[in-house]
Amino acid sequence: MELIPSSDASLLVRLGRTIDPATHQRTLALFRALADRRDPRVTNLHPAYASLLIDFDPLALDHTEIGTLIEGLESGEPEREAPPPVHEIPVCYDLELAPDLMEVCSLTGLTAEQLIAAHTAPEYVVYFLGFSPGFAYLGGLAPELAVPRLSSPRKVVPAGSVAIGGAQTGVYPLDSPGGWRIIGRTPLALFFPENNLHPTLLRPGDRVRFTRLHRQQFDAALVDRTPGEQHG
Amino acid sequence: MASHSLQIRVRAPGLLTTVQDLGRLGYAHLGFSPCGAGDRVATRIANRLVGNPDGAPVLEITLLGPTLEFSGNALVSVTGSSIECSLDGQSFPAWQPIEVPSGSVLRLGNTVEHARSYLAVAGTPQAEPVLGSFSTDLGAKVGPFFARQLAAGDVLTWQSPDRVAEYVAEREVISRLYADGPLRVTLGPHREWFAPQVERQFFSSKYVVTHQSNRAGLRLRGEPLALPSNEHLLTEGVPLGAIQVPGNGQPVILFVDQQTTGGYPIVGSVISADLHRVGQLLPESEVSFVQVSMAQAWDARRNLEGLLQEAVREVAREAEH
Repeated sequence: MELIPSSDASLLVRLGRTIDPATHQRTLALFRALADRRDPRVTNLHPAYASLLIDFDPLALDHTEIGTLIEGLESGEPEREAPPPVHEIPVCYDLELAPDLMEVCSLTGLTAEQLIAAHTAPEYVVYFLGFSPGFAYLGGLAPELAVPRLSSPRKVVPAGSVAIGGAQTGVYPLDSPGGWRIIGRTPLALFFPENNLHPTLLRPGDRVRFTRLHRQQFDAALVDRTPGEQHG
Repeated sequence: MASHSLQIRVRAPGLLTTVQDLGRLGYAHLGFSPCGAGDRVATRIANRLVGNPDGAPVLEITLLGPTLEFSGNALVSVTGSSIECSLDGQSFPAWQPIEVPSGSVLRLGNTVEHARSYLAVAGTPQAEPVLGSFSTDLGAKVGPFFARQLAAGDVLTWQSPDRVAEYVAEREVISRLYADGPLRVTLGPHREWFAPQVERQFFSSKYVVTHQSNRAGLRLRGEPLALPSNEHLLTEGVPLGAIQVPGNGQPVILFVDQQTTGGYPIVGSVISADLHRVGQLLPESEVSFVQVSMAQAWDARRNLEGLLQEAVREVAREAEH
């Protein structure tokens, strides 16, 4: 584990340099242990694939003290964790909602049916959230679905768009610019800013499954949208 | 304490006027930007001048200010960049409390020399914070005040105390809070990405703030910095004030509406005691950087807090408003 001062008010804890489940698990364990302390001197935590950035109040803490704090957490008894929630996210792969689907098919050599089957098969892990509130970087994409990002990003990607960028897939929670290739859309809301406890559907470490939704179901779901979460 | 309700109606919104406070903290792990005022020093002083706590919401004014109509007596202050200020056509000075009688029209014109001015109003807004903050997140469209920049016709409601102690700002202290000179930077966290001569080039260069700058980041223009071309950095969390160097070699200072993670190497980070100066940089202004140690950065921050304590003083007698 490397402790790297990132600014006078932040410390980067690097647990590895690769994207792999074990390093990610250790990153999340550290993130949760620190978050559970609710130390008012720690102002923000940014977990990523293999690192945790810790923002702190520089009038109250310094890098050495954070280092000591972390050592204390590591030597503590690891708590038995509840299994992560599994979110089922219904996706409509209708071409009208999936402007890049045909191109992803031609880039990968798959038919639309094969692509949808490969995209709905895995259980994905939420590595971390970034880019915009509630945007999850998901791990577990079938390698044959990896495609390069668009050479020039779209100015507006509609909220709910499901997309592939490189070896990753994700869902845009809000209308935003974006360079990933759009292969479908979910009617599910992923962003609830009025909910102080859980403003986003997905949290670091959660699991995600995509299920196929037909167009009629999609249109009906837009009318009555309710978040669907199962604890697995 | 006796108080009264007060409405502020936006007649003209200015270029980009938003409600901000000292930021939305504690939600970075869900992807939320820190947001808040670009100049937190001016925000804190504006609040102190009208008897508010440091973190009370203020209006952040960018380049061109709004015209506001007040219903109900108010006590306000304007800080930050110099700006044309007038009340019913009569100009008034910034950096001091100003009584605004009910029915008056307050107009703020163009900022002079710097980018952002702040308007504080004595009292508390009649709104609930969203995720612990009154700040407006323009990207995520989050915030209790319309979740966007202010528009003509918007009405803000405040609950305002009838009496406020009188405060004055110490001009000499304020000029020290906005000293000129290069922005101070600590090195890291990606030192292995930058050859020693590239680091030297960064600290000896003059950069220009481009028009492609906003609250999310200040894009600089200068002699491009060379980076190792065949390496790939794993996405990591990025702190406020980090100076990222993307593939084109032109540095970007990540600012209050920044993304929480990034995949470009960081040459260093602007120290917390200089972030308010970043918020005051105008497009096409020149900026340069000087390297400091962590110990120097913390000294600078303590010094800044000390100056802030001296910046606003309570006048002994109580004034009627």
